Amino acid sequence: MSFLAFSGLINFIFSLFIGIVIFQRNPSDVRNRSYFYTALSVALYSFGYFFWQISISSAQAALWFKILTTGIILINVTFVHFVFAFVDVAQRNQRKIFFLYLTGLIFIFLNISSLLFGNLEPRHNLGFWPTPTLFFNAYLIVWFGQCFYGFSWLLRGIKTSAGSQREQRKYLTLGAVVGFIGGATNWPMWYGINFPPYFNILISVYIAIVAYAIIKYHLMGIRLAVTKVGIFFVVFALTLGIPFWVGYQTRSWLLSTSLAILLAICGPVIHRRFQRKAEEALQKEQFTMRRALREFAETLPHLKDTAKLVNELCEGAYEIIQPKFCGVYLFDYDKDAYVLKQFLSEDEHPLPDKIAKDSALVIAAALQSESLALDKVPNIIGFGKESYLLPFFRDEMLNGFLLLGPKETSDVYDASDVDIFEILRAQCVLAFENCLFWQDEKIRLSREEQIKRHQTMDHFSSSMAHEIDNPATGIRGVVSLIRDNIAEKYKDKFSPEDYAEMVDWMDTVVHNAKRISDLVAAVRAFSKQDTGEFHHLSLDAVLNSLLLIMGPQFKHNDVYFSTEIEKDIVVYGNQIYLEEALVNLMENSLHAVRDNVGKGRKKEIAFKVYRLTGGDLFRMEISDNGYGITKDPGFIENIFVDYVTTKASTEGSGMGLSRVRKVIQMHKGKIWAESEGKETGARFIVELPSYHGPADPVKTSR
Amino acid sequence: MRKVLIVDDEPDICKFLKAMLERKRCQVFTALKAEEAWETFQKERPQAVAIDIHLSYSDYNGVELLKRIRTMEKTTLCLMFTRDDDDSTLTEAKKWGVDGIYIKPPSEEALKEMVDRLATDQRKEASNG
Repeated sequence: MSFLAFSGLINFIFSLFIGIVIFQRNPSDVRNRSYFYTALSVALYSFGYFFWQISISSAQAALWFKILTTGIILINVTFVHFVFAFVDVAQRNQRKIFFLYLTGLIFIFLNISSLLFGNLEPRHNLGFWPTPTLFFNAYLIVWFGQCFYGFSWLLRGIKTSAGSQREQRKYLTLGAVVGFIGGATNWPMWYGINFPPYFNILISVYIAIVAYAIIKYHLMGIRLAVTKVGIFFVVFALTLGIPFWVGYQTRSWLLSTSLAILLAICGPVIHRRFQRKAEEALQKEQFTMRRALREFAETLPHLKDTAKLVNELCEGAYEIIQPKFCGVYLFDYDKDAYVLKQFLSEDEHPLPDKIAKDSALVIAAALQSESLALDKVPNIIGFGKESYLLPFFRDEMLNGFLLLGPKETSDVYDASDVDIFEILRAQCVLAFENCLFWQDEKIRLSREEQIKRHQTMDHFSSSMAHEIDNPATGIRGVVSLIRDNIAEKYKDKFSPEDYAEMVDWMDTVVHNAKRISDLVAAVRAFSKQDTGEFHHLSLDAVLNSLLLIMGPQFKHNDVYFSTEIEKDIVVYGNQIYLEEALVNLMENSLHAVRDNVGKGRKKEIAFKVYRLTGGDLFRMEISDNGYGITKDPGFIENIFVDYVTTKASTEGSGMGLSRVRKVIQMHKGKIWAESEGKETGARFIVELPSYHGPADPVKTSR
Repeated sequence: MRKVLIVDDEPDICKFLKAMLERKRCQVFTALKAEEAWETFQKERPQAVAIDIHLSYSDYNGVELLKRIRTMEKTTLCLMFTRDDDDSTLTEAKKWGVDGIYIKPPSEEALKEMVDRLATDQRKEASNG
């Protein structure tokens, strides 16, 4: 077999097999189909070429030559068709395609009618070569025209594309150029020019390039299938081809048969080994990466903290997938946008800190509900093509997303990658839910703890108060003793001024010691568990105790606290409950004025107690100049309802306004709130019936 | 004679410090409220001032008072006392050139030191305030 025959055989095998593989992968895609036709044409050409080369007579050669020429004609036509399909303009150019095939048909007819060339004659020891006719010359011009036409469309296709698509088209162009040059090297011999067309084998190089582009760039998406079939085919071809060729060359059937048997035994083993190696090599990185990613994804729902989750997610994704950059965005309610929480990248690739919730990216992500290839979103600048977005949904709202840049190795993400992305995505959604749950748990636990602590503090302060009272009483007693009994004895040893000063200082000591005792008594009264009995109480006593307790709070918070209290009001009720209710209202006001300074206001709380005309009722008013109560309809009436609050419910452990109202109602009174709206302060008014008799002699304090 | 101003809303503390400083031959003025203190300061121009940070029933607190004093007079020695949980006000006070901060209740040594300083210290022309 000559080299040219060999080239024909190889071309035939390769083109046939690639064509079948591509077709079988996606028969409905016009690109796959038209490529298959091209491949078939090449196969036809090469088939004819092989047998033409091994022909032993001119007549035999002529027959095969007609076949190969048909192939040539079809190659060009199908090539242009394929280009149209590949750069997505086939739809628009149906008429041109039709005209193309028509031209082809005409020349095939001419070919079959032996009008393209005359008799074949042996030339330059390279087989039987034809003598071209006028028709053929015309065809040659058409041939070149079709080539350039096809290439011009390919080049246009390259210009108008980007990323992996562009790469594919470049490779295809390169391959096609190589193939056509290879084929074109046959033309000189038609005209008797002694230029052996050894470059005919370049057609197989073209096939190889396209195959490479398929494997590396998922041309029409058929990676591993190609390799597997390829390996099979190669092994098959060798297993059959070698014995056949040996037999043909040596004419020794014994030799070739034994070779065949030998290869038949080794063949499958070799085949399996190569298959496995190819799988490992081709898929290895992918396989390891995907498994690592899956395992990593499963660890995410074990995290309990959102910040940690974001960190781990970003680092894990970056390490395993190895994209050029990787960023996690979460929705921020305060900023009303998606904020970049964490990002990693090789080269300071800047991702925007914030993405608006109405940006094209977000809208596309929200619509998609699955991993989104950013190539599909128009007008995305700055992220680069070949990027992926994994959205996280919660209650049908887009909670956040993971942005993955293109792979470092400039491979594209294929379908299996995207499958793993989906797994990662699902686990992330779970993980975020989990973190939120734990966050709520944490708040709940800390509140429980706070309540427990308060209870402990209550017991603590009660016994502590008692202990503090003892030395205070001691001081009072002793100093009074010194002042009243002992100092008297030495009065004449001092000058009158000195003696007066000394007594004055001792009075000061006694007075301050009493203050300690008073404070202690107020605290003890406040933290006592009460029997709940009602008595006739002196309001003055209640309020004194109350103000002793609240005084330090106001002072410490720089609150300007003023009082206007009518004296000698008697009320029928329970001191502890009333104190509790009033303390709560005052703490409310304290909270309301907390941010006043930041808004340029002094903190003011006023407490008024006055009788109403008629004398049966009196009111207590606690007013402040803090953040007020919104004038939204219905709101102000509802603030005494359980669980309604004007500020974050994690603040404060107080009983709440609902309990305050219950206490007041217990005392047969009324309570309501007044406010001009936000930032204008608020007024809480308690109205209670007064009693006209004296207070009970047994007071519960001091 | 050296003039000292004591500003505290506790009358007994004012009384007590006044007595101690008068034994060191100072002329002592006291004020229970910030506004009162400011008026007295403007009138008497004492060489040293002791201010409680939290003054109840005043229009403004001790740090505000310090600011006003410092804007008018950089050579007055200013000492302040406070409870120990006033981080932000402390920083504010330091910014306005307070010469010393004493935590209430002061130990005997601290009290002695404070009284000594009020009675004798000259303010160094520090870079702050």
